[in-house]
Amino acid sequence: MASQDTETDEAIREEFLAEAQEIVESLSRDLLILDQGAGDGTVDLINDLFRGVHTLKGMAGMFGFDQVGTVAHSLENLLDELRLGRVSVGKDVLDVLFEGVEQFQRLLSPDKRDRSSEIDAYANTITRIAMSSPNQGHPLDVYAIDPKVLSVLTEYEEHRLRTNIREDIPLYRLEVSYPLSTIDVALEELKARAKPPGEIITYLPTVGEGDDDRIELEVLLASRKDQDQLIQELARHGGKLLPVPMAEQLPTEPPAPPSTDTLPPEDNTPLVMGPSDTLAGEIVSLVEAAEDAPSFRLHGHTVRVDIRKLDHLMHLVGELALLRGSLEQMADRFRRRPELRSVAGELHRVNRYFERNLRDLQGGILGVRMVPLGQLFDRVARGVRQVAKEREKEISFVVTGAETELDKLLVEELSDPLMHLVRNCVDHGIERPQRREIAGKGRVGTLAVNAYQKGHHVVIEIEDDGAGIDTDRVAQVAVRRALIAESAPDEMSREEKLALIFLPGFSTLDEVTDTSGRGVGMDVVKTNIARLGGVVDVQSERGTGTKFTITLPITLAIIRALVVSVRDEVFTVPLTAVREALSYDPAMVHSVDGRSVISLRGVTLPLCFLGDLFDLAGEPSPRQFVVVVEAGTRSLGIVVDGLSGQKDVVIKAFGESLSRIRGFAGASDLGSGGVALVLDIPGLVEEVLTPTDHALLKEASG
Amino acid sequence: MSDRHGIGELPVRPTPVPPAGAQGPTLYEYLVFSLDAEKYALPLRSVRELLRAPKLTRVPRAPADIAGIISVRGNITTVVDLKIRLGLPGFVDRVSPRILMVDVGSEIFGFLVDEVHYVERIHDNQIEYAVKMGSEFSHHVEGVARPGLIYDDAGVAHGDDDDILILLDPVNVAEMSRC
Repeated sequence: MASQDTETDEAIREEFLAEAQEIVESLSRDLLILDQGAGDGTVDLINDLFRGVHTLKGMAGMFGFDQVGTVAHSLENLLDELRLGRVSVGKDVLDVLFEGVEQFQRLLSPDKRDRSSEIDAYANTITRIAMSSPNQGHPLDVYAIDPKVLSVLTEYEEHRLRTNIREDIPLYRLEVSYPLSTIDVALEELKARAKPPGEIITYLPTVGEGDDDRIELEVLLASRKDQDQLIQELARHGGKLLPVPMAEQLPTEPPAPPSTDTLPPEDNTPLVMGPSDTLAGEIVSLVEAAEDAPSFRLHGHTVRVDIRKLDHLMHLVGELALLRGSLEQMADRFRRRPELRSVAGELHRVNRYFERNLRDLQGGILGVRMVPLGQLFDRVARGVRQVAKEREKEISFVVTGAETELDKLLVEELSDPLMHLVRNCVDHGIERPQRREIAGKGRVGTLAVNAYQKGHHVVIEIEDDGAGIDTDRVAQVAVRRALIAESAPDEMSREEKLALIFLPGFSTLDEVTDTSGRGVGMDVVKTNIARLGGVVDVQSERGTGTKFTITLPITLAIIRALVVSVRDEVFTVPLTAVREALSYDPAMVHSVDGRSVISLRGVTLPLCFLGDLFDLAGEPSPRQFVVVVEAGTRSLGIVVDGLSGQKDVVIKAFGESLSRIRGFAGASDLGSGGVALVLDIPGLVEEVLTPTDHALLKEASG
Repeated sequence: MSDRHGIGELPVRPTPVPPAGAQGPTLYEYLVFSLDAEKYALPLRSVRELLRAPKLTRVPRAPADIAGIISVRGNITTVVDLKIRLGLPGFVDRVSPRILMVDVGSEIFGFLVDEVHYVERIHDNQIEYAVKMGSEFSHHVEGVARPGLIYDDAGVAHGDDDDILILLDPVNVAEMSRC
């Protein structure tokens, strides 16, 4: 029983963490927009931020995440001051807000370090900023707004009123009535219609003579549109719109004595809202209560699903695909028997139908796993901002293709390598402003992240306009670290030298920087990406910039594979990596620099004899094939003994004990034929084509 | 227990007369199997199930004592040639009649064995632990058990001391497969 409770607690906790993570990511997104200058949208953004933090605070309180609550509470205060215009949005404030997002991230991470002192310090900083620079509003007496109206304005409404007056935006008063049942929808619509460029400052219910199921509202709004246009847009379903008179236009009248009259307002008089007006009072308090409660409707149309459940569904689809294969074989067997031929035809037809539905099901499940890269890029953008600040660099971060979708698991796994590459660009790539000016570039460096889909792959480019990579220096360092032989650089092309940065134990900066140093090098980036079945390439021009290109399969879950045989073994090759297959003719093989190659349409294609590479026993078949595969920009011809068609396979990882064996991406169940190893094409291409990793390494050590 | 296929059907050897002694020695359950002529045993709780040899897929480049991989209900499982791992000549063509599925915490391994016999209950005073026997035994041997031995009130051993079981430490046996 106790363990069940713990499980439920754990489930609730995970639910909270997931929801909180979404809110924090949305905060981060809003902040980034704010940071880039949101112009007219600033007010809405600050309101969004405020709401997000408010919700987070409520949830944190409910689930006992006190420290998250503390941070949210202080941030809420600061955002409230921003909303009220008492503090203006400046760089300091933005820094503090970004810091808040970081604090949330840390508190929501599995790392359980005690952060109470850090949090207290942060809360103090916020309070200090929130208290500073009181911002006096514009006097409200320009307009003849009834003091009673002013007295019921919330602090925020008053601030908006002041702001609009300061910006000389004319004020209007609108009288409308809505059916009680649809009032919330109608109000939302009204708000939406009013902006841009207008804004509804407040609306107050009044007691009218109309029927009981309607509510009459008096709306105070600000807009630059002229009266006729506003009437058309806002009051076309009935209602009255009049400008609020300026103060001097009013006959001077002593202010009405407070709370003596409950008369309904007359035409052309400023809105009157007495505190004794009970109906209005109730409604106002209801609205406030609703705003106060944490909103759980934020993500109303999404369902959060544990990725393991999707894996399980995918596994079932895999099983169904195997079943389908058996049915197909059965149909074939039947067809050979005359008396069963009609059954075979029927079975075949049903099976075709089955296959089509299965494919749709598979596509559907894959679709559910897909998430836009945007969420990852937002995280990266925060990283860029922070590193740029630490390194005193001015950087404009440009993202394109944020809507490109990738398997959720891949996105998660991509986070660290991508962050590393980007930080590397900021840290080592883009120069300091003065240096850039000397080089004749703009002070502000550009870091662009560009994602797009290319066939069954997603390509992510990370490009900076910085100093570029000094390949000679790279080669020197590689020699000094004994990664390559001393004489090796003389024979190496620029590309080969560039590729040295991916060698284990390589780090270009002699002093290890806080950001991309820490002994975690590009080799880790490369390994991590390779583990996802992807490749990373680098191009760099001295003085002009560097571009890293990551190419990844869209999903790891299920793939179409080519089944090949080599000696007595069966392997599968992911079809996404296969360009073509051709008959192998020993007479076509040339030996270039000790390596077997063939010419394919005028291009040299290096060969890899899989039987030899894997040291397999037995004799090669008299008739062999070349499977041409690609990884990134490089191609390789893999020589195999037989081609046995295509199959949908689910790639399963090896156990930990075999994870270090090179050349395989995992294994897949072929149904009747047992298990087949899945070739790791990027890994093989790398192993066969990169001299630095092996030959040169051997040369250096030998 | 229902998920531990094949184990429930194994005979349990009758426990010898409870040895005397005030302490009441602890009782352990071991699964007894053989490799060539010797009898070996693994703690029963580490054994998940017994499989009748399915088709193995060989893994090129894996160390010699990795017999290959199999799919057990969709999970890819590494299968160890226990004879090679323990320094004996390996199985012929890596074929064995039985595979023991052994859970070592980090992973579930398949161990190729010749024959699976029974479950033996062993008292700890019947075990001669490797740490006491000296360093000539590798760390994958936990000790040697003599289930035929019975101690009398004076603590003197009687009975068959020639019936020995080599007790394996599953974690250490599996550890050796890190490559």
